[in-house]
Amino acid sequence: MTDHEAAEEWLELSVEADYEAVESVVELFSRHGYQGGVSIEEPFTQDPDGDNLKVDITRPFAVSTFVSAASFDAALKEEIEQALWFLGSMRPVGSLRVTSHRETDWEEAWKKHFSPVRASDRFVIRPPWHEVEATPGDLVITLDPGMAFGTGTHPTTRLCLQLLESMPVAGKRVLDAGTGTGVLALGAVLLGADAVTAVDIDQVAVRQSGENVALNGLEGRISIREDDLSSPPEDGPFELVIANIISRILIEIHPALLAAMADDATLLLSGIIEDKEQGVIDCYAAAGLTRLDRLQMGDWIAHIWKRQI
Amino acid sequence: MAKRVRAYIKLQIEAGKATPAPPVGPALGQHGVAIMNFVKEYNERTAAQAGQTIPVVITVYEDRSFTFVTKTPPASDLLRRAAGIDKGSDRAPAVKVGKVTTDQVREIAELKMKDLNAIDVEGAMRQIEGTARSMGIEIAS
Repeated sequence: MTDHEAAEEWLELSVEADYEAVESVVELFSRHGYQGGVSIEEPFTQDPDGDNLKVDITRPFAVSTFVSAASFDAALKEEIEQALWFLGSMRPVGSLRVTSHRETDWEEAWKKHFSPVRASDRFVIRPPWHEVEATPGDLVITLDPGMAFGTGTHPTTRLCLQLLESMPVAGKRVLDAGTGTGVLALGAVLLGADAVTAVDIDQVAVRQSGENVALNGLEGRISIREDDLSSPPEDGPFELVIANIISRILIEIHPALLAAMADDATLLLSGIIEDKEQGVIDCYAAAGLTRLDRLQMGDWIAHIWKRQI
Repeated sequence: MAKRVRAYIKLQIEAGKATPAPPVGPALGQHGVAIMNFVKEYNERTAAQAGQTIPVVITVYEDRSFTFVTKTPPASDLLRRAAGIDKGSDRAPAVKVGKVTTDQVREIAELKMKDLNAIDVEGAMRQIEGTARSMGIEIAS
């Protein structure tokens, strides 16, 4: 998942097109854009209170795709412009606009709206640029999310924090597989975990969680590294293993998670939606584990498992 | 009363494989959406359709929360598959690169009917035919 490090500077190619020309422009853009991705901003109308949302096909749609600055040149621009000209002979299509973006642009843009959040009964998560007033018993995690997952706003993270709060974590050796921002590793340490190993396959997450551990002054308690768990971590086995990923990956890496678990270890799984839950249950039950607890928020589910004793 | 909508964005991306890279990051970041929350949700919900392009329509509300629904594969993908070609014509409509039958157009129109702003299948077929022409695909009866 290091694809998004492919380029730092991007060019956005965009064009306004009549509703009936959108599909053709999208087809053209998907041939040239990064990983075939295209975005379309659809014009809409709504009542002042937000009711009656309707796509407005009488106004132009904005279609755009992105290419790395290094892969774009005058010849490609001309090729795309020519294809747009042909499309424009059938339906109204505007002219091609090329604008430059840095990867940090969208990272900064969304972060402006990240504010402190109570993620569970005791955990409060705050960005470094926001102070919070904590009440006694609160556990405050300072987090710069960057482009990693885990801000405390998503149900899967909140389920994990809620379950962690309710189980014995103090004194345990913990593995956090797919740590993202490091939020769950930090949470485990605040609950008294002895030592936490946090791994991720994404360099962005490894870097970001490292920064977050430092922001919280917990460098001595959490060790972070890029690791796909293809072999069991040398600092294991662990008494608590946490994995908040997605169902497909939880199933794929179950041998690695099991190998990292001490005999009496607890396993916390999250990132499961309702219609994928049975697959996860079948997989872990077949591996000889017993499910002890299940918590649901919306259609997201988290499980606690133990080896059969 | 519904929440007021800030943006209505359609992304055409590969199922199960969203990342914060373009187009996802810039399209959502500019509206203040927690990009990684979307990435995780989309990947979990579309994992089973990996390998296909699954368009997703995201409604971003004024409070920066979002909901999304996934759609049927794009007409151009279905047309390419029906015509057995890798890509559309760069010189459409002058240069033709393939053919589909009216029956194939009807089949695609019926599949996509719920995602098109068409009043009946005939209307949907006209839209699919328009897309076909602009890709340099002829309609053979």
